Amino acid sequence: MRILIIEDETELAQTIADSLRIEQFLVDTVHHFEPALRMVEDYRYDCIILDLNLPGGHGLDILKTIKKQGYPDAVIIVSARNALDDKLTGLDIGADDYLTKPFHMPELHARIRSVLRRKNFDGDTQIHWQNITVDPDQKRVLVQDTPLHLVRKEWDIFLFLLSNKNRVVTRTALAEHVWGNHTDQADNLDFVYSQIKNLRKKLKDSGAQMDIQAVYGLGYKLIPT
Amino acid sequence: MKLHYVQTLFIAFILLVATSIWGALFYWQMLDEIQDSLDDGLKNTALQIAQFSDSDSIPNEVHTWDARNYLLIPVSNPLFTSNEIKDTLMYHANEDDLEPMRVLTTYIQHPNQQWYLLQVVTSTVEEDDLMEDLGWGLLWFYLGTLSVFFLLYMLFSRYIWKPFYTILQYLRAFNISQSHKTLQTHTRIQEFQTLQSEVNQLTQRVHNQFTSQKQFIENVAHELQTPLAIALSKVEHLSGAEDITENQAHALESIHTTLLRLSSLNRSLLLLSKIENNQFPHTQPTSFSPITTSLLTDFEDLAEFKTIQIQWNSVAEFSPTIHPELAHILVSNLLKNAISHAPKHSTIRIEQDASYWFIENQAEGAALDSALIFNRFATQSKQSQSTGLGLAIAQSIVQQFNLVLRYDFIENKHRFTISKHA
Repeated sequence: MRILIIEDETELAQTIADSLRIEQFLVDTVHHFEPALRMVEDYRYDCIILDLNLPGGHGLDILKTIKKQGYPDAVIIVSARNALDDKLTGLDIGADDYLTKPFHMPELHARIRSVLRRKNFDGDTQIHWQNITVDPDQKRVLVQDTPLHLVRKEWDIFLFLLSNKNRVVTRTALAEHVWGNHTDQADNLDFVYSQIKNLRKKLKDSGAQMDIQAVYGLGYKLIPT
Repeated sequence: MKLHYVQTLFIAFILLVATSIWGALFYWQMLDEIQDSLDDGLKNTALQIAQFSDSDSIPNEVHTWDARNYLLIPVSNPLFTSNEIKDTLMYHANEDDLEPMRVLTTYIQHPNQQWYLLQVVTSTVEEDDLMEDLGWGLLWFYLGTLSVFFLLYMLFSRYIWKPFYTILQYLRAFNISQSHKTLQTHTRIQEFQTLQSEVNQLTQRVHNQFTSQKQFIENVAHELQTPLAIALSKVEHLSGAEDITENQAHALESIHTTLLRLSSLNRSLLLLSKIENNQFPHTQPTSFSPITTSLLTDFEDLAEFKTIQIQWNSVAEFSPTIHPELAHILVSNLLKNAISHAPKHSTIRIEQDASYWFIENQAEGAALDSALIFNRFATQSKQSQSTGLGLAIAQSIVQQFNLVLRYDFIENKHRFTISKHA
């Protein structure tokens, strides 16, 4: 899978690129408007991470170009501003998703995977890993053909962890993904633990070849067993 | 307007004194002149009578007052030889009343050695009337002048001082955080021109400093976001490594928590800065019902986890004019606070009506100090993870949209009420 990161803050672009490369993505990075436009015109990518505040031009113009030329690349727009207008405009023009900075890396990963799944409508949208099959559209999990029943929140957590399998997902990232931007107080993240506990039990009872590992007060990691 | 009154009273007083003194002097001067002229008349008449009586061998004696207006009575000895002039009252038949007269009394000697008493009178009625009229005239003159002066002065004073009041009004309306038009009074009075130009310079300077400071804070917060995000990301990445020791893991956890706190603080400061810099201008009547309901769903798990019950009672729609996103943050902050501070197994009550929305939770300790809690960083609880900015942000949002956020301690419950500006 090829990903293009259009981001003027080089340090950040590098960090994102590194974390994606670990997941076996092929990543290109570009930091200015003109070269970004050229890259987009010359090469095809599965997903483009586009920062709207680019020096030398506005990111939305690159998005417009992509849509006008009919390129199939999926685009996730990123902006430091919380501006409602940018978000709506971007989505209107045809961006596939929108993220505001600062974001958690697991969040970006989950969004990329989600966008890629949606893009492969002629392919298989299901996720297969170890002995489970996950159908994101139907919101169903099958452990070796046996359905595993998860409540809404457990499903959100599981899918998030699965999109970031083998990676540490901090409690904060998890809480923000599942419950929104309100849960940024570490004290209250104990309740995240209780949800995880339920999920672990269900996975274990169903015989899934995976476990949720707690990482030293940092968060959780979905690992194969 | 106090300035006018003070000035007017001051000048009125001086005018009163000056005019009184002048009026009195004038009046007495006039009185004096009139008397002198009357007296001169009397003396002349007396002289003429004395001369007349000189030409006869024996002057005609006049013993009674008649049209001749004088008395000529032989006496044996003169009492004095000078002219003595006095005011007197005499009965006049046609008026049937006593009339004021002025009488000259003297003793003259006929060449034949006979002494005569000579008394000449003249009516002072006209003169008295004249003096009376003069007196009234002066009084009316004084009052009239004063009134006209006051009126004109008040009128002109208002006009002359208008630039000054314009400047005062401008200063009163000046808000350091808002951009403002330059003061222009088009006055020709030098002092006001100077005042105006100084005020303009001062307000401009102050506003610029304030704005650039705010901008600086916002820029700093903005710049901090990326490095923080990168640092966090790297720490999270390191923590995932298989081969770290327990000590390293603890250290990383500590770094992570600190970075999270920094990040949260930074985000809050940035938000506060944006709110106060009026970067949320798009407002509309926003109903608090859907916001409350959606947030309650989000916080459902947390509340359940803390075994807290939430009662939500909507009597009528509370729809103030506010930016929707900020309304969301406002309710969220208050709800978060309530859940954090509510003891287990207690109930949180949220209620709204057309003019208010409040949230109430059981208190674990004493009442909070409402003067302090809305200040930045004034945390009163042991909530070490909170930034202390939650309520400050809530307060800032509320102030921006002309609403009121009030804290009350009622029946051992903390209550925060949002209401429209009274």
